[in-house]
Amino acid sequence: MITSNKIKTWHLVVVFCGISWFWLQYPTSISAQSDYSLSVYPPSAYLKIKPGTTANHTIELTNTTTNTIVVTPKVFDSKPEEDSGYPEMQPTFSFPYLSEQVQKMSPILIKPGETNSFSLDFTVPPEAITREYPLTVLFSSTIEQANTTNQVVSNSKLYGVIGANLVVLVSSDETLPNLLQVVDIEVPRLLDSLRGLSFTPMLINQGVQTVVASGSATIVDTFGRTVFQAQIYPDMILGRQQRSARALTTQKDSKLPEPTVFSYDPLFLLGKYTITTKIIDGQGNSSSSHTKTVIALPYSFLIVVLFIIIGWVFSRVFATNTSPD
Amino acid sequence: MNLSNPTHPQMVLYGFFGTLLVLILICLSSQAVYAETLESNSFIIQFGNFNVTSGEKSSTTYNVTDTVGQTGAGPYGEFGTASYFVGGGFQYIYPIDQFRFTISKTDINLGQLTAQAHNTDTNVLTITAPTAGGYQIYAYEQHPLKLLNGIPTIPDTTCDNNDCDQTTAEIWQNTDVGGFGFNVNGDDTAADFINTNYFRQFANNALSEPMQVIMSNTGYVVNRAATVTYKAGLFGSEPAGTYETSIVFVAVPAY
Repeated sequence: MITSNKIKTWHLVVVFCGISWFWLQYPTSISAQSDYSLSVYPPSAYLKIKPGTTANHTIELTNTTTNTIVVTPKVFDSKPEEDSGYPEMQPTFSFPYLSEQVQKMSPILIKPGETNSFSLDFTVPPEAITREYPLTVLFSSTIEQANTTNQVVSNSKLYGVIGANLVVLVSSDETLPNLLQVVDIEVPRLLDSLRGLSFTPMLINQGVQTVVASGSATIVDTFGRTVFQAQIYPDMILGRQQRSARALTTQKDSKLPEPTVFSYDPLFLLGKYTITTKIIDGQGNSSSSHTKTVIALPYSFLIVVLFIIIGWVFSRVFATNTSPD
Repeated sequence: MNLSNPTHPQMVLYGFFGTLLVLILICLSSQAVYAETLESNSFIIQFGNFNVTSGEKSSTTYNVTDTVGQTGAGPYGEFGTASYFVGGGFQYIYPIDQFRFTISKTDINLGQLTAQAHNTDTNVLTITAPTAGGYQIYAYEQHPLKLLNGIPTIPDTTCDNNDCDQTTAEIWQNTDVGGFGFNVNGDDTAADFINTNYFRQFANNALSEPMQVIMSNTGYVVNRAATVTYKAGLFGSEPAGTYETSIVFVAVPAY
């Protein structure tokens, strides 16, 4: 873990240097801006390229301010952070199939209210092997300069940087198998009856390409009744990535689907509960499942009662021994 | 008291087991089966059957599908075509909206600084992240506040008790303590910004400190906003002049 953190820290440092280098290379000549608002579309895209062919991907940048914005693109290798969908930008750029990369990195001027496009052209040779390449494109903009005075004054320049993800799959196959599997369900074997049952299915994508987590989780009680069902939140699981599944829900005050933990919270749990998580592939078939059984007993309740009884017995014994009779 | 009289303890035990019996009966009588239901003004999704389902459900800001039987399952489309609004799979949140990052004000002017006083300025960061995995916003500074064309600096604050840095926010209210720092207050902010009195240093790129996450969310979000408060104060020995730095906010969507 310590080594992993060091590597992550090193990666972030190098990303800083990359962004800074581009500022120095392409100083802006645009006058001061009062605000910054930039949109990218699509935020994340998945591009499949057949070896021996070419492909193109376009990212649209929209300036919603009243000022002209100049952005400088830079493409990074990336990979998903551990157990999340956040991209972790890498210090090196090793993606081999981006055509005329240097030419593409010149600054882009976007007038107020306008949308400009940034295109990436890919050329994949016939001998390319099947592999998935997660990339992140950062668009850095520069802003104003400070003025000098003869007092102690502080002016700070703000720079906005916005990113977009592109995951490129190089494969000659029309379809690749969905190899997303449930490898474990993290839950205590013994539960207290007065506490809820929360669990975390652990998924691993053993395939080479990104898949969408799909499926459901159920809890069946001692009597065979299904007392809990929840869909798996449709997280993107990149090739070879392992991460925990999340439940899909919608809060009462929100119209958006939200990720949450798998949690069954009845008034009282008792007996055996069987948790099953199933993964559904693109054909609607159950491609993987995992089951774990937990036992719920009223431990805390029994302990409290036991202490009350012991206390009562001791109090009676004490009262008897100290009785004047 | 006569210990041989069992009336009172028996009543206690009867009460205990009676209560336990009632709780067990309540538990066993439960017949509920919970199915997920998602709805808004413009859509409703109910997952009553986990094996056979299809179709697209949408609101003004996103679509969700639960499709079975298609070929090419997953986020990828046809060869050579990036897929981001035609998804396959059992269910899929379409990123039909733009990933949008707004900084309300890019001129941060803390005015004329004096000793034993703190000057502040604010702006607002707003983000829309139409992806299932959410977003992160990082922040860092190119260097501490530095005199234009000079060497002297206003150092990054270490807060009232010399205990904050670029990763941990702590209380900074004592005007005897100078420096430069920031607070973030609003949606999705880092947990160490407990309230508006908690400040951090910006990660210092000149010292190769890695940029730090100040806002994040692991789900689809629309117009999440947080106010950034920039604060600076003098220790008293700083020469007159304009101190400046560059602050960078990096917004990145999740996959």
